[in-house]
Amino acid sequence: MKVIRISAMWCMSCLLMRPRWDKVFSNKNFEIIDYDYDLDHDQIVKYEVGKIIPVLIFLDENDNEIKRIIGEKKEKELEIIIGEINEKNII
Amino acid sequence: MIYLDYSATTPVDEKVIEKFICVTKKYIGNPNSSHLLGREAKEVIDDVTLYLAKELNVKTSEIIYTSGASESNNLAIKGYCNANKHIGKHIITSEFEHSSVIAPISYLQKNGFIVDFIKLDPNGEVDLNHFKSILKEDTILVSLSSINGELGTKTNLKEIKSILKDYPNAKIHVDMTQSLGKEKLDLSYADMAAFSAQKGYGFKGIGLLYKKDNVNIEPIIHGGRSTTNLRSGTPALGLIASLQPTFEVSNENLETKIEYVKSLNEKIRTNLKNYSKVHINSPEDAVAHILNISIKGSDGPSIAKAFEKYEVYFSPQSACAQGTSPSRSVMALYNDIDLATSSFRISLSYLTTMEEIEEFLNIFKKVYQEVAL
Repeated sequence: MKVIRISAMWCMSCLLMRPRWDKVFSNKNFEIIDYDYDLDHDQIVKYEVGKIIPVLIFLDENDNEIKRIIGEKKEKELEIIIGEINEKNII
Repeated sequence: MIYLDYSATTPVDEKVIEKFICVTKKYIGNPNSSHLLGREAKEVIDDVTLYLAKELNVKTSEIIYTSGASESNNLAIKGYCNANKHIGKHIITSEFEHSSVIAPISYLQKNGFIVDFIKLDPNGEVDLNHFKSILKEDTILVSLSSINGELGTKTNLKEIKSILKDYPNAKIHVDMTQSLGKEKLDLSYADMAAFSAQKGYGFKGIGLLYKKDNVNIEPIIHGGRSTTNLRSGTPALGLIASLQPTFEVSNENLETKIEYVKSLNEKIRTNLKNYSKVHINSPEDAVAHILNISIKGSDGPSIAKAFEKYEVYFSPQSACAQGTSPSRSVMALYNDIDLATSSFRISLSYLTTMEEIEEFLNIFKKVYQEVAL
């Protein structure tokens, strides 16, 4: 199970979200891949990221997208969303 | 054409252009060269530095020339934090800073620094109690702008500096980009401060960093020794020389100019009270040059586009922010997503005429019909 994290250096929401991401994913078994919105264009173009960042994209074992979280979320909200993915036995 | 985006950039004053041309033609030497032509060029820089030091009430050794505020902010933030990470790795900033402040702080965050954010009180000022509560023993940097570029609110730097007396490891970096030409420059509360000439009727591509002598930073551009060992590269002689007339133009008759801009601001505020869907987001005590306005039910980029049809130019948000997102500053002040989404910033200058404002208000009536009804 992978999670793609897309953020940009100049983005305030990304600055706010990075520590929350680190916290919620610290005790979870995800392969985490970080991409820069500006510098990793070739790698992220296939994900069709819009103008709002940061973006979290959850992928299953076949790299199919199963969930996308756009913009700022509270730590608790992130935990709930990840919990829902767990409940569906996707992980 | 009506230009109302002076906080994004200003037209270059004729005296600034003349100085640039004159110095560029007359002094062909590299200021770093040891021969006569180099020494003559270096003397020009020394004279400008002396003038700026006097104007800013600082030492000549405390002025570092840069390519603009983005470089100044990067040098201050990354240069200071990297040189002092053995003391601490905690940074405090606000959620309302320019991308040239956010990006170096993001870079440091990715390299192990912890970042906390100051909250604003209901008047848009720094919540000092909250500020005290997030200060730590290992806080090494507080980075704030002197004027919020979107709303025009002023930061209470005096109180912040006073609180920091109990935290000797914490230095204060001030992004003073919006201060030039809008208020009397006061560096007494800053350990480091960034300026850009283009906000004060000077050229794009030149700015400076004020850094107190006792503040230790490391360079971000490495090379030979130049006017300072903290910023390598052949000094941009003509551009540096142009800083003197830039600061002269920005600061001469400042109080009179501010009073004049206040009259323009007041004219707009009074007129826009007639529109039920209009909300003035900039508080009354914000600098008069920046006026943040919402037309509820619309969105900032659409409003700016509608005005552009009439050759009126301004920014939906600060020119360097992402176009379509709600204004974080407006959201923080009013907690109203409609206001935050429908906001735009007009910015005024002593060059703005009352006739232009009257024409803007006439056009506003038409645009309001298009976007709000």
